[in-house]
Amino acid sequence: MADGLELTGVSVAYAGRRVVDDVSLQVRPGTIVGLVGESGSGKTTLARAVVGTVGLAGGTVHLDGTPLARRRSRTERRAVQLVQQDPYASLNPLLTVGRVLDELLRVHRLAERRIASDTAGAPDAGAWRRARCAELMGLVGLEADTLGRYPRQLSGGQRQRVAIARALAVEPRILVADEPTSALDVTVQRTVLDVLVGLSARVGLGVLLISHDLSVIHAACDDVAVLREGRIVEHAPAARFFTHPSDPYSRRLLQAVPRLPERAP
Amino acid sequence: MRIEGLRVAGETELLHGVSLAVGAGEAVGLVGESGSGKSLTLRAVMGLLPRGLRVTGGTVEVDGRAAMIFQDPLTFLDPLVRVGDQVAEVCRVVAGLSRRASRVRALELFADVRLDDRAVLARRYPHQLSGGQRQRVLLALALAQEPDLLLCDEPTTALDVTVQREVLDLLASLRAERGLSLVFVSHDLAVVAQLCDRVVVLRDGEVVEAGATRDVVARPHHPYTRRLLDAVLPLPALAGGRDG
Repeated sequence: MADGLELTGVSVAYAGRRVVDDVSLQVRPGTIVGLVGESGSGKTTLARAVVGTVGLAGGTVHLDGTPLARRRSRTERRAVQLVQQDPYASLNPLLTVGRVLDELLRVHRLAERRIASDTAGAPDAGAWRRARCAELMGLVGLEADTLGRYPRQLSGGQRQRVAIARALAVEPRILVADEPTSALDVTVQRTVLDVLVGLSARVGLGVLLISHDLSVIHAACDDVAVLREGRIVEHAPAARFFTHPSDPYSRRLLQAVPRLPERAP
Repeated sequence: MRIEGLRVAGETELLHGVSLAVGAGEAVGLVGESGSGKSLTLRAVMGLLPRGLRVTGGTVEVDGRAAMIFQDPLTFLDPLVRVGDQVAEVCRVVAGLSRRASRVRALELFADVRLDDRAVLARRYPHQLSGGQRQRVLLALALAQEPDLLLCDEPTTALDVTVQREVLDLLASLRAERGLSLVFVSHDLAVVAQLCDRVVVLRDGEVVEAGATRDVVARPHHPYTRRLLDAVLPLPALAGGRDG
């Protein structure tokens, strides 16, 4: 099996009903796969299945060729991270951004691991963590002084980038982003998408980008999968999907998107 | 409707003299990001300003009756009353209909907003309906008030794209059938462009640009309008056209 995330025949059932039904999907390192679906399609449940917070009724999830167990180890949990829609709800209001990140690095003993494996590195874990926090801010396009701020002092877009930085702190292989731009103003959406695109290219992160918004998927993704009532009805390279969808439902979705009239060049 | 120099303030001023005119049967889009004052403008027209805010200047004139629909219908529907009864109640009060006649009228309105399975649906409670059905019920509730002007505050923002398309088409046909005037508030210029002849761009409580939608989209003057347009993420054209 290849590198990255691989779902094979994944099903999730609630009360006997299959809300995710026989889904197969691959996310390679350095690529962004878009998962599009309307409400009730099972997108969020699928996200939970990928990060391991719901059990599977069938199928397997592999990471870099290794099957992930029902109860994931701490290392396995670190490897697949989730970013959710609402950055307001997911950040502790009482901690500064720097404190949140530092805490994570400390809990996972990331400095110690890194220093142990890096012969040239300084032995000071605190200094390593400070440098890493600044680096994380850089990766999501935020100034280093953001580390001293509290969540309420940040805009929605900044908060979402902090949430991404927090997910990145534990050095995941795969990032699952569930509607990461839906709560943001339109002018900020693009910044967050650019961050995801940059990360997949620069650090080889595999991203599963879940959205109801086809333009968001188009702006960021290499491949597109369409989920309807728990099943994948189409899975195609983005370049083909947006002009030549093969499934009638995909086509209906694309036709429904409001588009601007022609703009002057 | 004519709004002239509307000012709204709480501790600080939030609307700094907004002017806006909507002709009979016209659809005008009000566009801006959160905090621009677009919803506040509609609420001021309806006298529904949040606590602590008041109109401090300007005038609002509405010829005839205005009704409003909202992004989240659940906030405005009574969770404990069947939706058919809620619409019937408004018919009784507004049109002075009897209990029986108002129930018949409610079903007619459900037909007007293209709700299927009306008799069954009328007996449901709001939480038993889908998002699209709730928005249609809210629209029926607004129509029950026999409005000449319909104020729409992001009514499709929370809906799935295929449902959004249905509701936009419905609003367009109601406007044509009834000669309704519409004010449609949205953060999304592409949505507004589907429905509105004219568009007004609002930023930080001030109108920065106004004009025919086609012109504003093709040749935006204000940098902020340009930013909003640039933020609309483009999609390539679908092979075989929109209706193929």
